[in-house]
Amino acid sequence: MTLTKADESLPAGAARDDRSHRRAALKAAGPRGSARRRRTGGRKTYRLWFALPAIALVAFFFAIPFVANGILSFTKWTGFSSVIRFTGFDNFTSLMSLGILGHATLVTVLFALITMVVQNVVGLSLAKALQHTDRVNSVFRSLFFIPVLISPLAAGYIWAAILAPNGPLNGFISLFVPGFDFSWLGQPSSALLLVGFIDGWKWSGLVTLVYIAGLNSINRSVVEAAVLDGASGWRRFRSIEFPLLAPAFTFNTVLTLVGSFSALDVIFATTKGGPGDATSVLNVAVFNQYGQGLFGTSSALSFMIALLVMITAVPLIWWLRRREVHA
Amino acid sequence: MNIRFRHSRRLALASAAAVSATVLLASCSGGSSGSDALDLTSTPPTGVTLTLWHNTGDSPALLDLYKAYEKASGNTIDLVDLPSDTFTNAVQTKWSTGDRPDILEYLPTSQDMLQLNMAENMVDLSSMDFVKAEGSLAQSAGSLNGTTYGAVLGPNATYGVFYNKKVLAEAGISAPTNYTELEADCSAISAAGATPVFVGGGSEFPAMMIPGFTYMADFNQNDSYGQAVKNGTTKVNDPSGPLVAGLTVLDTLRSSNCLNGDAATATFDDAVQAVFTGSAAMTVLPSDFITQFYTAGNGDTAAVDSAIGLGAISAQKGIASYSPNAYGSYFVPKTGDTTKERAAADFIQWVTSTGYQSYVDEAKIVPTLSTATAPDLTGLSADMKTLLSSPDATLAFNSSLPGFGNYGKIAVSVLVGQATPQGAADQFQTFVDQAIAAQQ
Repeated sequence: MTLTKADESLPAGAARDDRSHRRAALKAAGPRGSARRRRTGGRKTYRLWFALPAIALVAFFFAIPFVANGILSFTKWTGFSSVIRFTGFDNFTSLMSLGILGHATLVTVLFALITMVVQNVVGLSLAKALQHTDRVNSVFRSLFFIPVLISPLAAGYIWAAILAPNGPLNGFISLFVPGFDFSWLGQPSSALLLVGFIDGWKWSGLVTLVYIAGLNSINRSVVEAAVLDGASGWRRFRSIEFPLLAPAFTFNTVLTLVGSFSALDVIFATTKGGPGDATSVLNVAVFNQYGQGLFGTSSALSFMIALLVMITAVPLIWWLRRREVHA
Repeated sequence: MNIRFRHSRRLALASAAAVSATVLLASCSGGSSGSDALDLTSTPPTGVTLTLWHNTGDSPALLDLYKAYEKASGNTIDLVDLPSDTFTNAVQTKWSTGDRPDILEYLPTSQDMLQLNMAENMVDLSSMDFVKAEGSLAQSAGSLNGTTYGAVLGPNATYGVFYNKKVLAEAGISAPTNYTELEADCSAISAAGATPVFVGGGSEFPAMMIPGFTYMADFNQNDSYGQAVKNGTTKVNDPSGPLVAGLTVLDTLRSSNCLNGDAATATFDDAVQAVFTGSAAMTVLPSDFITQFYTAGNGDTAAVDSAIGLGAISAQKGIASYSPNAYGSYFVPKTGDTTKERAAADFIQWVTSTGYQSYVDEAKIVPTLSTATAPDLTGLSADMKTLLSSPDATLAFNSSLPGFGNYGKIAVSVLVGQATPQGAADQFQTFVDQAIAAQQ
């Protein structure tokens, strides 16, 4: 299955031909060939044993729950009855008519877009600023990475306190605008934006590291050639560094966007989905439905998150990978 | 090779689906496995360890009650902590996996009991002695369709307005007993330099106090409103109905600056502090918050009692509503282990009889069972007793209201001006319809 170094140096078709020749030779070799086959088989089994824990983990903690969630999405499963009945798309139509599905999906997508933009803009800016490894930059890299290590709930509580009407932010603004009093998380208009910013702040340190790694992997001679050609810093970034950052950009974009689809902790610590339902992302809606004993509709909402991830991630990765090839 | 691989992949997926479905249906649709009729006349076992899922908000008096039972019975209570702020969700999560305690502390209102399908999952306690000793406070809870599944020790919560006596005196007014008076008092209190009414909407449930738990007290005699909504004869979004009117009161208070500016994000702790310190004149909260006021006063109960009062307030009549608490309400789930079920019933028997009086005395509560008498109560506790003992007091509107779990967000949406009272009520009706359909 794996190519030897010699195989790697050959064109794909040649390697395939070589393998079939080897198979034919083994067949012709008789018992000695069988022994080699057994050794090859043993090597395969040996690899399988190594893969087994990962396969088991994925099966038990992803595949089976995912399939189970999918099945339960189409059932009437409530705390009110011990019987689980298949009801087709009833859960989805019910959630649509309640306005929960549409609203929660919209809020989730908006939240994910805000966090993705914040994380990538902040992360890329910081990466450029802290690209070169020296003592000062190492200190700042560690500093900006601290939020990643903080518990999301703690981060949420800290920001809720900062943004409170009697909190330090309003206190600071009051120095310039006396009596300034704004409920940042209490207004539907600002709450979603700010919660997105908080989540973005929380994870920007991680994105920064990926971009720094990406920037430092760019061949220096290309950049130096551009410098010799008189290209400005902005021009070098736009025409050389950003296109060559494509793999890091793919990773960060997908990770931040798709990761935000399943956000709950920061939102719960700051607004609990409120005010009203202004920050009720799909996971908040899942929590609310579940708490009322409506497990089937709760599963349907969870299934929606999985679908949202798949619908978004697959084409996004495909498109970004193509961009990498062009770059 | 490829075909075989694809075939085996399909087979694996199909197998996973089949395994999932089997596991699911086996674990989730199993229902109860315990005995329907537990012999409560047999001698209770000793030396048994009973798991008790309890609310971490249990008072020291309740924790002492558990210890006293252990000492008296020779059985051991193994407390499983469930956080008070997400208590119902925590119970639902464990319960839906098929996990069962030997004793469950839980909300004894009919809607909450239905969510655990108690008719199938709980031991019938109707023949136990405490049922005969139940007063009106206990009779309204713990039972479904005439069958008693839970013992309600109290404290029952009552809903009223906590007010700062000094602030009201400076404004030249007395504590309002209805919302017309309260709206009229706002300008006088504001002129005296205090926030008229403090709402800790960031904690969500305080937003329900004005439009729901207090305003609706006038309309739920004998649980009539909740039952009518449940039966479909009344709609919560009736434009001339009380629920829309209650939300309109909240909206009016908000738009006329009667409420604190940070009502959307402030918490119940902020509300207690604001009223205790006098920066706000009033807050509407459950009587459970008496303890928080005493804490705010550093335990000086006499000082708190002289500074703060608790009174009834409703739409017009000036009456209070009440509801049973999860704290001190116990059920015996069917576990299939008759020895433990019998021991759990013994626990219920003991805490409702031999151990009850000392619990009531230590907790300083109004007893729900005639097996104990009320201790001498003063200050805020005496105010609470007055509200609970009033013959006009009504069961809280949410007890039988399907879909009530969404009402908090509905009230907050009005509190922050995100929805009109009618729009919010229309939205709430859709949740009510969903809950009614789920129960059929």
